Amino acid sequence: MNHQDIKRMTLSAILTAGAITLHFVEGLFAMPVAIPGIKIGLPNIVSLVALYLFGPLEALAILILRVFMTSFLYSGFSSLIFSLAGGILSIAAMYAVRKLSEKGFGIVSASVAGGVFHNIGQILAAAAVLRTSSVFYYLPVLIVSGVVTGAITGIVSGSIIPRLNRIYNPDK
Amino acid sequence: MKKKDFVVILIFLAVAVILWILMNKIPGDTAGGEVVIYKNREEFAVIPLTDERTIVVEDKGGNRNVIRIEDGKVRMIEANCPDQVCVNTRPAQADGQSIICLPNRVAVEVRSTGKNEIDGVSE
Repeated sequence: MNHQDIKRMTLSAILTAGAITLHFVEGLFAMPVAIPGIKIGLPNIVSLVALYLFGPLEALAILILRVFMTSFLYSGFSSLIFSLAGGILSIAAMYAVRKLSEKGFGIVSASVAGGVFHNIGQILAAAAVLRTSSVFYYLPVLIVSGVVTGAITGIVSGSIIPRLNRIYNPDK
Repeated sequence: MKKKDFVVILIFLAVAVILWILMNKIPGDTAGGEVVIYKNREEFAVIPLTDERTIVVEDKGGNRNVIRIEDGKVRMIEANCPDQVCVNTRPAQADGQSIICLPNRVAVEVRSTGKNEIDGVSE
């Protein structure tokens, strides 16, 4: 295990802890809109940071650890499937956009795509759990909310990622 | 933020708007259900809202109403009543909406066949 491996391990652990904290913080204040199921998605910042700093596998590992921890600590088992469906689809979408980064799509693009697909994942999970397609009528609302929250978390991540990158890759 | 970030945002917003418009056009399984036509306060006919047909309601007094059901909507397309309020009523499609022709004593009402599945779900 070399120097870089230890750095990656430590930073991943810190990011996981940060994600759990952000999930808790998010639960502390209510959203100012009267639409159920809409959150800023602060833990998504961590997914985005992990994806840009390390890669999709690390981001996925941090996501799964975070979802299991927060489900057992706070929200109960029923939220597990929703969080996993949303999170995994979100990371997949952000990874796809990140691959296009040479074509001029930045962190905010990835974050917006992540936010939208996070909500799509949750709708799919809801449709599977409730066995009804009625939930899809909610899709336009959730796409718009995904764009807004994705833009917010994207801007935040855009200022975090270069700073952490200086610590993680000081030579570059 | 980069220029293409705005493009991505606009694309997603456009998709949301298009979906929203489409969903408002296509009646869903929870919107409406069946059309009930009343003549002289009695049930004259019950027709699924998904049908496509024209119903003529006539009585011995010569009162005549023509009701058209298509695209998940029901309209009064013709009536020989003096005020024509029913013909000018906007098409009914959602549960509880109705079209009433008072002079001819004809009422058309949309009612839901199944229960609304979104209700009754809670964490």
